[in-house]
Formats: sequence, structure tokens, C-alpha cells
Amino acid sequence: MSHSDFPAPARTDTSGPRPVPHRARSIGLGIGLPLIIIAATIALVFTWLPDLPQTVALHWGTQGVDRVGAVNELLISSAILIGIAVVVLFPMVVLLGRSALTRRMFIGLSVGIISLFCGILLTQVLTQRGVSDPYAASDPGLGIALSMTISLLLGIAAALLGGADPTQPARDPLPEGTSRLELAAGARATWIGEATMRRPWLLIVISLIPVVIAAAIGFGTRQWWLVLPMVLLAALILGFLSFAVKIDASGLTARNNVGLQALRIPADEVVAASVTDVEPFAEFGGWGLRTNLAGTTGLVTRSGEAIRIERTGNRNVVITVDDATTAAALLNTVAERARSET
Amino acid sequence: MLITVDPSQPQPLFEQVASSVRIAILTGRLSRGDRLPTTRDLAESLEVNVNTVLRAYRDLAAEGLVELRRGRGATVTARAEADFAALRAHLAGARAEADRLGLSNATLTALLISKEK
Repeated sequence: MSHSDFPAPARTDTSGPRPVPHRARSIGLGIGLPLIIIAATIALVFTWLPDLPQTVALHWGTQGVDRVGAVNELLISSAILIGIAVVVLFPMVVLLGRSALTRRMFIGLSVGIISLFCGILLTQVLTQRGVSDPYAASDPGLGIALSMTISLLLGIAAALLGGADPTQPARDPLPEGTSRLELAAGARATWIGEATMRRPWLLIVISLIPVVIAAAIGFGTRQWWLVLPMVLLAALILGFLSFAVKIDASGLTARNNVGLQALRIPADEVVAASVTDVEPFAEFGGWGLRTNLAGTTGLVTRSGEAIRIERTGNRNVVITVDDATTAAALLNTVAERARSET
Repeated sequence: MLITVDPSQPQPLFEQVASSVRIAILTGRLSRGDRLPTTRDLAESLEVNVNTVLRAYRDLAAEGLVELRRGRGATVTARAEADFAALRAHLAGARAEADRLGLSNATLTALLISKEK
């Protein structure tokens, strides 16, 4: 769920470029809200600062506090962390987000990550209020767990409020040379495929990694609550590496293993579909549901054959499926039918 | 897997759905353990009655090509692959032989359709 430094070649959109939708909402949620959270955190930290000991705990290890230092070190390291998040995420919120998926993702990431960092700083300060010996600082586990939960919920809420895409039906006929499926006038067709890894067992192995890490952390630190986010991560990996793809008269839909809709491209927003070859790591920086700096959304689960969809509003999509030739041909056919209906 | 229905064809719709699935198994687009879409989902996509799809799935199940299980839907059986393996080999052979003789695919199709033995 990240972007890559290797943008795919830009494509032209026959309907012409349009401004990024819901810009005000993106800025309010993805920048305004994090700024309010940062301001509130600064205010709280400075209110509590007089109650802190001269030397504070900076790091907790398996046996409790294992590193102490000046208050300034705590504040500066936190400021750097939050600063990096601001510098990296804020431009993304403003610049990327042509499609609802990327817009929601960056708004959610911005709110989630910044509130997590603020929560961790607040936890570190709170656990040491009125303590004279930093080694006696209380266990930050609960505070960090709370920060994780709250930032996750805030991130999801902000992402949900990120705004759906306005409908942008394609106006021009399909470009010359696009493939079609031979389909009689009254005939209907449904294409069903799967975007999945070439070796399904790899999926299970990969999803086991966070579980193993969680178990290691659990045994090492006795912080068993950390297992929960790791198991959630494993579920997320499993949920984002295999998708059922369906193309019918209404357009294209991709759902993950648990049935959650990951992508939906209405037939009337398809400019053209074609077959392409994709190298997920080079073009998207990894596998799964991704977006790159060119604004292309990738549902890329393996390298090789894929369907490339030019969608109105410069929202291009690449999906790895077998038999992409048939898929692209049917999508072009239903796109053409959708145009003639209006 | 491509499933098509054409109401203008004399073949009933459920038969058209079933033959689409058979072709998918034959061409290897569907293999053992693959799940077919739910009847409701497919009926909605094809704009046909749910009973049409259900009938197609029941026919396929009766032939032993798919297994119908409550909650799991229809899954392609191991037998489906095996049953079609021989036909797939024959078809590949026929195509190769036609190529060798310089016969077009259309001619080959015409030969297959013709009732002459």
C-alpha cells in the first residue's frame, strides 16, 4: 500500500485532465486534522513538562527502561519523527488523490501515522509525570496500545470521509485498434478471473512472518497485546494479495478474499482496456493494491500478463490476471455498449 | 473464465451457462478446486434468473464436473480435469493434424459440426 519511485509511462486521457476532486476535503482531513493533533500534543507536552524528572526514560526494552537521557532528547527525537511524517505525507495528500482509493489512502495514512507518533510521545511523557527516577517510569504498553487503536480508528475514519469519486463518464468513442469481444447484439457476457500470486503457498508463508514476529516479541517482552496488531497485519496481507476479478455489463469489480470490494470501475468510465506486461516491484514498488507516483492504481499480485485500463480523469489501473486478452476485449465491448446507452 | 448467454440462440440459457463452464474446464481456464461464482452473483451479471444459473450448476454437478456444497458454492472437481484430459488431447491432435494438412480452423469446425461419420 505504498507508492514507488518508478512512475509508469504516462498515458493521455481522451476526456482531458480534470482537477483532483475533493481538494478542500483532502487538505482539511489530511493536513488540517493532523496539524490540530500536533498542536494539541505540543500544548499538552509543555503543560506536563514541569512534572517530568531532569533525566527521562527514552527507551523501554525487555526488562523495562533501558536508556535514559535529557528531556530535550525526547522532544527533539519526537519532533524529528513527526517532522518527517509531515514532510513526506502532506505533499502526497495535496498532489496525489486523483482516484478515491489513493486519496483515501493518503488522508488515512497522514492522520493515522501522525496521531500514532503524537500518541507515543504523549504516552512517554504521561508515564513519567511526577516520577523522580526515570527507571521507575511505568509501563508504556497500555498507552502505546491505546495510541495504536485510536490512530488506526482515526485514520480509517478520515479515509472514509475522503470522498467518493464523482462520476466521470467517457465521452469519446473507444480509440481505434482496441480489441472487442465478438458478442451478438442481445448477448451478455461475464468474465471471471483472479489476481493472485503464482505460488499460493507463498502467500501463507508471508502472512506467517508477522505472526512469528509477534510470537517472538511476546516471548521477549511479555507484551502479548502486540500479537493483536501483528495478527491483523497477517490478515491484511492475506486480504490484499488475492482478488476475485469480475467484468460484466456494469464494468469491472475486484473483491479480496473476504469479499471486500477493492476496486470498482464502471463501464462508462472506461476509456480503453488493453493487455500489458507488468513488473510489480519496478512499477509499483511491491505487490498488492498499490498506487505509484504517476497516479496509476495497481492491483498487482505477480509479474507478467495484466490488463491495463485507462479510466477517465487520468485514473489508470493495472490488474494482473490470466487471459487478460479476453478480459480487455470484454471490458472494451461493455464500455462501448455503455456509451451507446446514453 | 468467460460465460456468455445469447437469448437469440435456440439453446436454452441454462445450457449456455453450463457449456461456458465446460469450455472453461476444457481449456484449462478452470481447474480442480476453483470456485464458480455464486448463483446470485452470476445471475445478476448475466441478467438472467437465479434459477437459470442454479439449473446450470445442478446439471454440471450431475455430470460430476462440479461439487455443490452449502455455503461454499460450486467447486470444480478433480474428475472434471481428468474427464476432459482425453478430449483436450484429441482436440490438440486434431488441430495439429489440420495444420499439417493446411486445413483452416473454420474447416475443422465444419467437419466437427457435420453429422457424417
